[in-house]
Amino acid sequence: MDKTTLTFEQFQPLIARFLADCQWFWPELLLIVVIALLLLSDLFLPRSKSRNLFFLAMLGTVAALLLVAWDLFRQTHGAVLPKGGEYPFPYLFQGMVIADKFAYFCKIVVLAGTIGVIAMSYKEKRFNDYTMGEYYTLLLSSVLGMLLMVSATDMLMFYLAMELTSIPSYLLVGYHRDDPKGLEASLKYIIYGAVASGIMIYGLSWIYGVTGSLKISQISLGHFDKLFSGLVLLMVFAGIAYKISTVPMQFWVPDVYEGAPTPVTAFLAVTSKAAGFAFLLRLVHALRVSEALPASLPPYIFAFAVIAALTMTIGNFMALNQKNVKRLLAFSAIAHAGYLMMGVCVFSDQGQTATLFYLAGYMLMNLGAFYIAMIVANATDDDNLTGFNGLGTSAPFFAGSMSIMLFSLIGIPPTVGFVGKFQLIASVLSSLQTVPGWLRLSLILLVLIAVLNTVVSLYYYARILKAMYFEESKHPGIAPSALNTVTVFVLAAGTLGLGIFFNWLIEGAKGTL
Amino acid sequence: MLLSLAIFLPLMAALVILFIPARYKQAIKIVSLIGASLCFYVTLHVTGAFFSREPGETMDHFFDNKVEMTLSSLKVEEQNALRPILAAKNFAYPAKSVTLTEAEQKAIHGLKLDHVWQQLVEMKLASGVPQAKKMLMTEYYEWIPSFNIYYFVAVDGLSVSLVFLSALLGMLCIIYSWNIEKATKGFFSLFLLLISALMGVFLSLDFFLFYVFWEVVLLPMYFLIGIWGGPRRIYAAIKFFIYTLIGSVLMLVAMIALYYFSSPQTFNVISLMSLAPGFSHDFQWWIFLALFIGFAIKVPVFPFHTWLPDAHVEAPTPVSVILAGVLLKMGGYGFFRFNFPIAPSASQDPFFVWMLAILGVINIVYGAFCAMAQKDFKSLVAYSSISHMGYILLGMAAFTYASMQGAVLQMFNHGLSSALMFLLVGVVYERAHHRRIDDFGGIGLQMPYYTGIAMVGFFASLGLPGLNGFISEIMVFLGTYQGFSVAPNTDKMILLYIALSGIVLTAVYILWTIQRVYMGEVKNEHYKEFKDINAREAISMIPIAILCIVLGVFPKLILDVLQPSVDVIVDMMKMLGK
Repeated sequence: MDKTTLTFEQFQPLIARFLADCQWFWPELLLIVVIALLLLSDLFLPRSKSRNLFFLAMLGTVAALLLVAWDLFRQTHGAVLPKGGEYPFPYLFQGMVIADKFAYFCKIVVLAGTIGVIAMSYKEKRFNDYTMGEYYTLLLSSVLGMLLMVSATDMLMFYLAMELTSIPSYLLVGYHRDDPKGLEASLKYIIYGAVASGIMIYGLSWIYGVTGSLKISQISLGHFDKLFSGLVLLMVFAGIAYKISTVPMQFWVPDVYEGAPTPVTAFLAVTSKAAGFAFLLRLVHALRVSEALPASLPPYIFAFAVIAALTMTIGNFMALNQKNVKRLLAFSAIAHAGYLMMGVCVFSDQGQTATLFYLAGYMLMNLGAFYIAMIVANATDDDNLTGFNGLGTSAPFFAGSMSIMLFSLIGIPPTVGFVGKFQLIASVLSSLQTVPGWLRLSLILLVLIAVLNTVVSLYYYARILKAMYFEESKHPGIAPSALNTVTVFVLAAGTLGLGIFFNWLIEGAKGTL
Repeated sequence: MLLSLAIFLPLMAALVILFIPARYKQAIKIVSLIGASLCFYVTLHVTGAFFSREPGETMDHFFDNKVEMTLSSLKVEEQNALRPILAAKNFAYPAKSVTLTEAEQKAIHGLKLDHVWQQLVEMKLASGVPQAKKMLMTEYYEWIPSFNIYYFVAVDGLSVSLVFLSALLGMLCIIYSWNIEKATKGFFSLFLLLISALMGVFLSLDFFLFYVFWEVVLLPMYFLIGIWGGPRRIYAAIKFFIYTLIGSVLMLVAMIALYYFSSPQTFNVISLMSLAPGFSHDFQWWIFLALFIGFAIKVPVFPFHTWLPDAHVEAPTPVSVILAGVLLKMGGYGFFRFNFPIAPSASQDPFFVWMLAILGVINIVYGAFCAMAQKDFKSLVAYSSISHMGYILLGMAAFTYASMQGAVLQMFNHGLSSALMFLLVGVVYERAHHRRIDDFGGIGLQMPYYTGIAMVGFFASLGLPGLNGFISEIMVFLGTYQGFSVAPNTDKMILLYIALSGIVLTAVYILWTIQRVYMGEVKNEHYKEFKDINAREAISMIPIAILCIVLGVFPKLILDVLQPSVDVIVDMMKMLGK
């Protein structure tokens, strides 16, 4: 076929397929419309009323979530696209993205997390009233990037989605323009992000150069030198590691989390990490099933296991002496990235299920922790642990909810954090019988490191508990607010409820890839 | 149904309390007393089943019936496929790992019966275990099918005494706590949660469920020590939490490993017992070690014991009572329920036998010496607990019928006597506002009724014949002698001799304490204003004192209940040892 002179007739099936593909792209399209509407209404709304754009952003996100749920429902009930085109359904847009259950699961996590973040943003006292239009625009653009990221099946698409996620979040991190800490955080975030994505795209260009394809299902490095392919994959991993904040790309986390406005911190810690992990899982799965790797899996398992162990240990030990709550939660977020890596490192279906489950649970508990940290900081103007002093008596509901979140973060039943950790450990132990002897020992060691890390983490999470309940100082109390109460209640009930009735979530996460 | 009621009644009371405004303190107390009393009433029924002529359906029958029910609920062709396969496998104890041939697997998979098959095998395995013949009131519901986790509770002679003890002490402590004014709502709801979790620990037979309850015990305990405790409460609370969490995470790893190394994969403790003899010795060895550390921290066994004095000294009296009376028994119970039956080969490993025996002796002697050196009344009682816990380890190491029964009985008896002693310390502390033993004196003159009860408690702890402590100690010693005097164990005899010195040492510190606190002249003018015990204190202490005497005179009452269940463990191990 002569490629230079395509006639309209030749285009037609492509266009038809494109339009058909759009039917499975409603959530993203909706978000684009909402983003545009936000920008526009920001122009016409009086500046002082810009906080009210919350309603539009919230409505848009909830609608997008419902659309995702509808898509999932449609698909499970057998709705498919008419045949045609080079890529079979559920690949969309020439194999750039995919509309599979895995993507839906992650989209639900991302959008649900975003709803929480938007609620937080509405309640964050420190945002001024006249720039919220830009804020929500940037936030939702970033979310759009994440939705693409979790469904990307092409490395180039992934790269673009990652940049779409990152660039607005650089701005969000430095959203308090006159706060030097925020600016420092933003700058750090940009520099790290630029370096990481630079390394990553260099790795991608190698992959494209030697294999001629960037589709993750077609990456076949099997014929190449082990060292070469290892290095290339390491470069790609560097970009992802930056998003999910594992060793060695975790250095930006504490400063950025501390300097950013709290809703943005929660956004980065919860949704951004979920999106990163989603793509990592997809990539790892593709590499595993297409047997694209030159060496067998064990060396990769070992490398990932080392990363997991280092990440959780560094995160936990660095958190021990933090006084600033956000910084403490930042280090805890690193530690949790380490736990999550346990599920990735074993290269198994069960590991994927466990990681997905943990991502959903982590969304609930971490969002809750950040939410209450923000409420407390707003009430006391104190970002440190001392802000929590006496919360147990002045605001028993919030203190109780915070305790649930903290127990969940530690991993104590009956909370979702425990169930998640249980599954991650189970996925490592279940792979013991299939790996060679030398690796078995390292995996057992990984599990022991993980559980002992749990004990270490107890120490610093308990410092918040101690401040809330054991310190006898007066707390100014927390102004009642329906939105705060409802959101925190939902998050706490979810954390607790999913710790007791979690079978459905396992079944939902199982076999999605 | 009864067992679930026993577990969840206190929890429901706690939930009710959450909806009572904090200012209605009296209402909160009454609701919690009702919750705890109902729970105790239910456990009376449960205990009664062990004395009745028709105790109800045992677990082996329960599962046999359930298998039949499950099968008959299937379609005919499905039944026809499953029945022959089920019949061909040998489920007698000890069972082999249940492996299917490829054809069988295909047939089951083809009919989409994998999950049903898993259930059937699990139930069949469980019904073959000798312990299942002693288990009553089985409740078995699916909870998390993805991991074959069940809500599975039942009671046998081993657990019933501890369930009774938890409910009794829980109720009495709530009466004793009637004067708690600081954050009443929080205190009582946490306390009820604690009782619920303890009930769950002793009743659950699904390892996952057990672990959940085991961990839930930590949470209220942490807050109860940390909020209502003494001056160093924060340190004591976090130390308690960290120590026990180390133990429980190791237990978690062991639990998950057991799941993946058993075939079929299961958390069902009874099914695991059936499969346990098939596990390799090395695997059992590691499982035993991990579980041992987990339980040993709770007991506490010698190198892991340092959290206990801190926690006890700082905890408020009712919490100390539960801590000493019930929480420490969780460890001992774990040894009997998990370590021995699930790692039978490892528990006969000379290394572990020696370890148990040596650590037991260290606990007895070292605990007693430490107790002697204490200046604080409460920490003396705490160290005496460590000493008394040593007998349990010694009894387990000797592994004869008598020593094992003695060890289980010792758990119950120590639960009574230490609970009573902590209450006694609490009573005097409330009046004197200090616990320095040397500054007391002449309390006996001032508070005769109180001192009368105190004598029962202290002498029960000392092991005076006629009181309950004597029975269990003598059984442990006799059983241990029996065990150590035969061939391969004779070199352990020396340990028994050292342990025997514990009797004297216990007498020394108990008598010396009685002398310093209760005898002599009234040391301080202030003490002359002390009133004798009031109704609240009397109601919470007298039942325990009565039980101490009754079980000292008529130990058959409880021995008959626990003997069959404990003997089964010994029989199982003896059979496997051959």
